[in-house]
Amino acid sequence: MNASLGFRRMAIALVLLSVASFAASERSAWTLVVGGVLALAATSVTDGPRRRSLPPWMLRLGVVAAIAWGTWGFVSRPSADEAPRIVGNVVLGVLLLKLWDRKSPSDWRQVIALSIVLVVAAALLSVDFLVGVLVIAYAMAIVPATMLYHLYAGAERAAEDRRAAAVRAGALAPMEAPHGAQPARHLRRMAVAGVVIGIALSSVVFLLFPRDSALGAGQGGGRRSGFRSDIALWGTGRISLSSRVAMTVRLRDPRGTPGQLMLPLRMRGSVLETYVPGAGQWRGDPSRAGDRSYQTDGSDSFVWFAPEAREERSNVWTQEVEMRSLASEHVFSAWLPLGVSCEEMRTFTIDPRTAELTETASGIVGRPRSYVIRMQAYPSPRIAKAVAGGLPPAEVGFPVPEVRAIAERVVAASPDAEIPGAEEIAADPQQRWIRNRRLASLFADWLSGPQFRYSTDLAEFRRRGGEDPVVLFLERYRFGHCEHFASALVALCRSMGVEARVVTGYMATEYDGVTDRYVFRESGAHAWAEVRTGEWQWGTFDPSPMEELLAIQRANRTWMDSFRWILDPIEFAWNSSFASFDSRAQAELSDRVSTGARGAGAWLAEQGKSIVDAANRWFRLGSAGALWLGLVGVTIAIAVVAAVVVSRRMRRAADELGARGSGVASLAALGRDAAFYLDALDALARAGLAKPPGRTPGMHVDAVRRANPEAGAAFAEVVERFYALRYGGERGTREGRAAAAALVARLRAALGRGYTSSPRAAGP
Amino acid sequence: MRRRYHLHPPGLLYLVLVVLVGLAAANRPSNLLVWVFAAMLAGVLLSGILSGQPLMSIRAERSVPRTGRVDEPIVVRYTLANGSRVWPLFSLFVRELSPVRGSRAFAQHVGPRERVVAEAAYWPERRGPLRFGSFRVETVFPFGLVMKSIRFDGDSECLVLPRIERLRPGALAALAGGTVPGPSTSVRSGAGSDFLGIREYRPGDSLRHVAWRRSATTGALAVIERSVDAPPRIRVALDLRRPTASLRVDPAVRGARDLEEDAIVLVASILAQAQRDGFETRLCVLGLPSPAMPVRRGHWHLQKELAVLAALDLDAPRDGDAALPDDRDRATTFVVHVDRADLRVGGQDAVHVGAGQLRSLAAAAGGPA
Repeated sequence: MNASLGFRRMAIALVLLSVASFAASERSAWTLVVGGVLALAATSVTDGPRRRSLPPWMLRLGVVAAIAWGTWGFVSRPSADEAPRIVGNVVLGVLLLKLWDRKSPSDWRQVIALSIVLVVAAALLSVDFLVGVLVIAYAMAIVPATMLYHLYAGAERAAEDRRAAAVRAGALAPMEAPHGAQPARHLRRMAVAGVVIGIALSSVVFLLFPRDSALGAGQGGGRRSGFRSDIALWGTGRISLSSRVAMTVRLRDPRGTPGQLMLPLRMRGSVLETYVPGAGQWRGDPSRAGDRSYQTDGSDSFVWFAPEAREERSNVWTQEVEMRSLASEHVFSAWLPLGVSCEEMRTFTIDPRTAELTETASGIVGRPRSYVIRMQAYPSPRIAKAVAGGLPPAEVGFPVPEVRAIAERVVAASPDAEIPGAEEIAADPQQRWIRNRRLASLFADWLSGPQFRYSTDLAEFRRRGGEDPVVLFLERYRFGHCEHFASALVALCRSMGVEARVVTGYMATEYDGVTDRYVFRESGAHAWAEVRTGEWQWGTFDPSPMEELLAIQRANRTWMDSFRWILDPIEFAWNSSFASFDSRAQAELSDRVSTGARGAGAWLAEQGKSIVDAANRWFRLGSAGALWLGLVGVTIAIAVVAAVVVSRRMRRAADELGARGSGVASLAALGRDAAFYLDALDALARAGLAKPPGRTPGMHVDAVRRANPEAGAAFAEVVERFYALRYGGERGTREGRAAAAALVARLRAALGRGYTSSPRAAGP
Repeated sequence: MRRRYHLHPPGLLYLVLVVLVGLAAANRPSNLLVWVFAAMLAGVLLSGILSGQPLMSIRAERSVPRTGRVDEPIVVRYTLANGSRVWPLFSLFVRELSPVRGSRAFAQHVGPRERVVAEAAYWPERRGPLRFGSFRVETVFPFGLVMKSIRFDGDSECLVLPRIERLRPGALAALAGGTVPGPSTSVRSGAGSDFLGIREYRPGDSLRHVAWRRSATTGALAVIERSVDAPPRIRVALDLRRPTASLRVDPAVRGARDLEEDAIVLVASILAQAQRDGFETRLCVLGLPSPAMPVRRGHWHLQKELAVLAALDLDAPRDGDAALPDDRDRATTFVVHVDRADLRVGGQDAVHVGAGQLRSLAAAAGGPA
């Protein structure tokens, strides 16, 4: 077994896995290629025949430069989201430099430690399937790698010890390493056991880890990618525009014909009404008062959110959603949902005030893979009221007063907007909705103007004193992404007394004519505004500059996107079962386990009872049959235990008393008669004076006597008695066994009084 | 029997990292991070399971050689027996808990139900009994996070013989100034060259030894007996009658105790050289209790003499009136003094040597013999 060579190979594999996982978390092929090539080149050069390495001063300079670069990066972008990326890049640089160094065992330990930090940084940055696979592969590889490392490092340390302790060089022969296939086989076995036990333990910890919030795909890690059910405007990281397909949607018109309706198509996911000033966060209604839940029965039939909805025939469209990589508790619909159907028994909850749909606890771990929604684009007030349930509209007003002044300035700058005033509204209530619509259009047009710029890089969007991010966006920075635009529009509308809310979801800019499906990519995650334009109507207003948005998405496509469908089912399973495993899933899993345990117990009891009944009928034991069967069962159990005890004693007698090859009867007799001797050996072994296999009992008496004279004397008598039985032809009698038991008790007592030459645990 | 766990710096660093990752996992909604934390935590548990538990089944025995020599390695062997039926043990170090200069023993692999002998080399720096007390079997396998150890108690002893310097060729003859006697004959019959007598033939006698003329005269077979060659004899006396404190030495040059040790080394070197030169030797120690030694030759006799020197306790009270026994062996007497010669010891023909002459008598820059 060449531990050194094996470890070096495993270490390089670990480094490559860590580099790959970090590159995957960064979605940077450049990092993967450059990092991988440099790592492999470093290995072949430094471990090659000439063992060349970079001079130490160059390595130190490189490390200092990497740390300085990381510090500068963090100072220039002081963000918690950016920190893992900066740390990861610095660690990657140091790791690659370290590989070009001459490596002692401690250097290799540093390499492994750096790779661990790199993997942790990757896990901090992303929860993508590919990253997950690489991280898990790394965790599995590090078990044998560290085992090999400790063999290699231990041998090196022992050799170094030997060299350092020697007064004269060459006075001692070098150490011999174990060779042959057996150590390698044992190490493999231990590594496999380590991986299996490690995965089992980590799974248990993972399942029990306290979680208090719902997770969705795209929420893990520092990168903001895909749909999010809330908005944090202070998130200053760069938004990744992943072209992974989140879901596909087929729209059927009221006649059931699939087809393309329009582009872009927006799918509502989460509706956010509450703004937290200062923190720059939009949240949904945490109380969810008035929510109504509906359960699908696993068939094609729909459950309807209102009786009127079931009867509605006019302009009802059908939306078939198939999740690809996205696993979310949010149920997406393009328009007002009237009913839902799912191939599983799932529970769907609708917030009647916002028509936001979610999938809630349903006893199934994971998210729905597909569902169908009946919906209406322009619902009649009757239908909208029935679904909304007559709840009051969202709150009006915006808690940041500066926004009102900005809104008034925008309105004042557009005298042609013809905004109805208070008198006109008092005269005609419908003028209120016209005012809402015109104000929303005015603000959306203003935000779409050239003075605002769409950008996914928010590194420069920094906090300034106590200013609100919406005000900063409107007044100072004037750049941001869809969440900033939507937030600004809603803030402007609300400051002018117009009911408005932020909606997050997806926007499709692609239509697959072959499958008649809209394709929603992660980069299509979007936010827009809904403004109340009628008693029960809400109009969609999207102030984000659409041309820039589409251009960025088109630029982000690669040829690899065409093959992503291969991984979609796995990614969905990953996102559904792992990435979005939250407190709700924990509770469901707990319920299922407890239910399963109860069910298994009941099943076992049922099976036992049926077996007893069958036996009772077969043997015709009558009413007391169960009692008789119980007695028989107990007898059989006792017999089995006795057989096991006797067979173990016989086997031990054969092994330890040198009676291998004797007949069964003589073995059983010897096991019974010489049991006292085996008990004495057990007592000695417990006291740390175990008899080595090759030592005769007489020699062991001497060894015990040296360690503990009293115990040695007692054991000498035990051995004398044993010799008489084993070789002296003496037969065991009851009295003899009692006397021998007394000898063993004496031995135990002597051992209990202490011994001087036995292994014992060192006390602290 | 209990194990003991030692947290060492790499393990401590790892735990700090685990805590940091745990905090990050608690504050960041990432299940992958949670799993990484779980895996890191599992690593700590796994470390205890994979090597801590099998370590409980290990048995260790130490085998110490009876004698060693100053500045020569003493190889101590540890027999490690793995009592487990399933689990192998890897990367085991055996460390003496008593302060002995030397290396640790290392066993890279002990399979289930296997016994492996690991050896450690210790380098004694002074003569006398070297005591080994408790020792510890330890390992950081498999992950190096926690060091697990199990301690074994037991006393062993190795007698460290004094260092032997190889003396210059002819050093003994030069010291003795021609008083070293040559070989002589003894009255014992053997394979020598001198005539001892004639006796009657016994079955088994070689025909070469038959005295044919005498046999022809007497009519009965007779054989010639020859005497054994008796080698020259040397008696080496170590004068330790003066207590260490009474020695006249210059501490700036060499301490009194060091000089006494030099005297012992010189005696050992003279004895070894004499054995090499074919002398029979006898050691006498004046001033300290020591067993009476006969005049003998050979490796085992030299070992006994060195053992006597090794066992000398210089802290014991000295007998200032001790005298050399009568020289019935007709041997040349060398008296080794520590600080100054006492010419009354050993009679007129005795050769007196000082401990300070050790350096000049030793072969140039030669290592121990």
